[in-house]
Amino acid sequence: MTLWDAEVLARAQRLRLIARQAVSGLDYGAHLSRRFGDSVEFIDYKPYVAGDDVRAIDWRVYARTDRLVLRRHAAERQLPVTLVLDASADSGTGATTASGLPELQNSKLGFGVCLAATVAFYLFQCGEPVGLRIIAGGPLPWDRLPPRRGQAHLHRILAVLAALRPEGSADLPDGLRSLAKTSRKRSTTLLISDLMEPVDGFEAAMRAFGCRIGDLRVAHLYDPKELDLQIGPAAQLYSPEGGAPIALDPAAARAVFREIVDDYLAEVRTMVRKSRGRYVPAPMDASLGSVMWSVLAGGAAPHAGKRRFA
Amino acid sequence: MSLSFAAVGLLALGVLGLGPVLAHLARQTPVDRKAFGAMMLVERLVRRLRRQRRIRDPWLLLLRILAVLAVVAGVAGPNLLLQEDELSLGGTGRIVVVLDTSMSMKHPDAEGTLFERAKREAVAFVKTQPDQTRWGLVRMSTEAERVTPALTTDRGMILADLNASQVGLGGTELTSALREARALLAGEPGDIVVFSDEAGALTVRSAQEELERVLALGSRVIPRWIGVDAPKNVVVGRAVYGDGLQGGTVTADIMNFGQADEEVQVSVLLPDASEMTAFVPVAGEAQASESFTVPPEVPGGVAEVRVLDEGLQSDDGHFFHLPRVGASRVLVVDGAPGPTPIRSEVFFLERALAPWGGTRTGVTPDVVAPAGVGKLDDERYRVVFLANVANPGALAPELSAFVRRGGNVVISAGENVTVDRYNSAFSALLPAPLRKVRNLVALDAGGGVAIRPPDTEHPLFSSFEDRGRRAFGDVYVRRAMTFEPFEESEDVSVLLRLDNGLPALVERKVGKGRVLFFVGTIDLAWGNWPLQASFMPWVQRTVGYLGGESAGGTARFNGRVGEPVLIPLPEGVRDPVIIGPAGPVADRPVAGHVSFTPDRPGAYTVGLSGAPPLAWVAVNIPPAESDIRRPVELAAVESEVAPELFARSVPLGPWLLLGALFALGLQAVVARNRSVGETKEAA
Repeated sequence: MTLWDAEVLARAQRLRLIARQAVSGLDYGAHLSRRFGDSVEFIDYKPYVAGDDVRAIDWRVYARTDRLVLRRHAAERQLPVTLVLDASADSGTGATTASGLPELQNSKLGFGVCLAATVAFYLFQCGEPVGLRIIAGGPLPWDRLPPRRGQAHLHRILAVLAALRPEGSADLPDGLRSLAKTSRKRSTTLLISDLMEPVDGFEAAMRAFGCRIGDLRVAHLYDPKELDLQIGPAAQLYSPEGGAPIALDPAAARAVFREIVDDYLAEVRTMVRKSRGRYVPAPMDASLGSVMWSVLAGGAAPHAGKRRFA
Repeated sequence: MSLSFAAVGLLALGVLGLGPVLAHLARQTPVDRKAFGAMMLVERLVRRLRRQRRIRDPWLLLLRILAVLAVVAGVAGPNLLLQEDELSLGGTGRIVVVLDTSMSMKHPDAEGTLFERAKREAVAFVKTQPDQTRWGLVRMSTEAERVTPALTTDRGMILADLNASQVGLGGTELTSALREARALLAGEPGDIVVFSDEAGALTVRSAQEELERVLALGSRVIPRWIGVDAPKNVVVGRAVYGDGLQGGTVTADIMNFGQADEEVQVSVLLPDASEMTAFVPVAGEAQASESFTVPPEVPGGVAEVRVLDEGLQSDDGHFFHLPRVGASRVLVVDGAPGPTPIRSEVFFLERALAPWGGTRTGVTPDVVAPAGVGKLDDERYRVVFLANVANPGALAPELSAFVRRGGNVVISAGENVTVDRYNSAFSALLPAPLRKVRNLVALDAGGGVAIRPPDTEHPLFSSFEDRGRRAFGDVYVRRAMTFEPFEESEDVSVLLRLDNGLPALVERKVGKGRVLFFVGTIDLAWGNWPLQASFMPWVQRTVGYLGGESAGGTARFNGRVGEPVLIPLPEGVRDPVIIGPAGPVADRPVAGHVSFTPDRPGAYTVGLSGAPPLAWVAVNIPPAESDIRRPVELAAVESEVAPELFARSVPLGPWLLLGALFALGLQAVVARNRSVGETKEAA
């Protein structure tokens, strides 16, 4: 399946529509960079030292306190954002189309695709460069698109998302390491994943990644019915990524499973926090706009000083 | 305790059937397959459930397994083999009763003595057996006595014999008793019921071989222990008269065979009826020694050490030989009474033997001139000092005979001692022929030749350790008698030497006695020894060494109750009379000997009517019989030899089936409760 297939193009159009609907009502505006610059947004004072620009001296403060201080202002810069989408086979559980693509409404990966498209559309609207990186998934013409601006780039992103098919196993540690090599420092990365890997396995990689890029946001995709074992009668459960099936009676195991889910979510939150990132739950039944709002406007990460979106 | 199965094959079949049962109990696997995106969490779930199931399910599984196993084992018919402490009768209808009549059965019991209790229990036992039982009776003592010549059905006769049995003073010969019982059974199986206290360190263990023979015939030995839990018995294990200057000491070893500490009254009863008493503490299962100083004069004979204890009293006395003890055990033949004390051997000897003048302790020797020496009484004198006797010819025959009989002579040199006369008269006594008197230093010079320190390994000098040994270096001899060259042998040995190598003190063994020859004088004429520190202890040790350890005169023998005593008779003596503690004792002449078997402990004399006794015999209880402890039980030894006799089989089948039923019911309850709980949880 190519990006010019009719189904893909239709899905891309639908993605654009979904994104447009999701971001409608949100204010667009310049993003505040963490760098200091010439904007009118005051940040703080700094003692004067020889060599500093004397134009920035606040003479009023000098008149009051007899101390030379400089006024510092925020610099307006571009905010490149990289969207990283986990398209492993486990993410594909749920409804699929006749051609095997995940349904956009009733599958984990479909929700992730919609979320990625919405964020990309929003950033496009804001004039910010946005890139895309696919981890695992079926074969695509492009599995990595560097952050750029423009209508054509957005269309490329939407087309890739529309053609995305769940497949294989996501090697998050390896994916984060390779992404860290190509990402710019002090950029923003939004990881959209079901995080179904042992935390011990990718915690170190995520921590290193978070330290490098400075702004990591993790949207945790999950199906609330799965995590509540609302899967019908007893059955042999298997992972699309492979492995032996496990016979399970959901009714008998639900209580213990809830405990395990709670423990797991706590682990993930802790791991993201240690990675200087922000954890955003992205359940399938949540509204796309609220999740995106949580991703973009949920406030700055604890370490990020006074920088904030919107 | 062990387990046996009547149907081993059935048991194996049941174990094989256990597998399908367990498989049936396992949960069934669902058929539907579903893709699940959170399998990582499901794997965690499985691990956690497995851990929980390990705790929750095993009880149910265990109950079910137990139920199945119990059913299988119950049908297989297992038997539990229990080891019993006591044997029961074998049911042969042939019973030999062994009744212990040894001395230890006199031990007090709550209702009399152990023997009386044994008789009561034996009588009661006989009365309770069936009428057609064939009986035999053996009395056990130093020698077992077969009371019934063969097995009999006459119960009345057995009861009469039992009631007529008396306890004696003999030992416990279990081997002999079992042998007699085996003879009564005449090679056929039967039951030997032993009523005994099994006292004695080796009583049971020494009978093991005979026990094996009895058991090999298919018979059983059924011990009926007659004893007390805390037996008491304090005895005199040994009493000896030790050497000493005068009278010496009697050393008694007091042995406590009971477990409790005791303080017992110990008395020494001397032949002259005098008595010395002391209280001796003895720890439980231990022994203590006590010494008694014998009075200055005691006639010889058999003395007794007696303890007073509350336990077994028949062995409280211990008899031992006491030589004649008197103040005149030493005779000094003064050959040259000196004009002054320093020229008198007797003066120094008397002070060395009785440092306090004889008023407290010590020996006051009899002093006679050579002409006054008559026949030497072996009981009266043990040591004769010849001090510078000029003409020994008249004394030689008597002294030689005295020494051969066990007497002892100490000869010292002096101006009166002439080589020729001594060599001719005392050739049979002198260690070597005398050679001459030799001046070791010039007569007008001071000092002399010192004596080398003695060998303290020799019993005469064993008490001279360290400074006492070095004190001999202060002794010097200025003039000495020398010997012709001689070689030391088993009978002749040099006990002291001068620094120049000449012998100073030489010993010769003659017959049963000894002769010591000192080459100097025991006054200050030829040396300075009487004034040195080593002189007095040397004299006292010499008297002890020569006279205290041996008894002379009347022959002395030891015997045990129940064992024959054989006494050799002097030539020409016929029909001697043996007098025991209870009067004349029957004797049996045996080719130059006389033999008798004492029936009680005490002093026995062998002699002719109206004449001094030829021999004394001290008779005691067999020492092993005094040990009333039971280190090894007869039943324990029998169980070692034939453990199968003590095994009792208990069928477990019905109990196991009952247990299986219970386990099945219990598992049903547990399973139902669990199912209900799961249903509620699912809802």
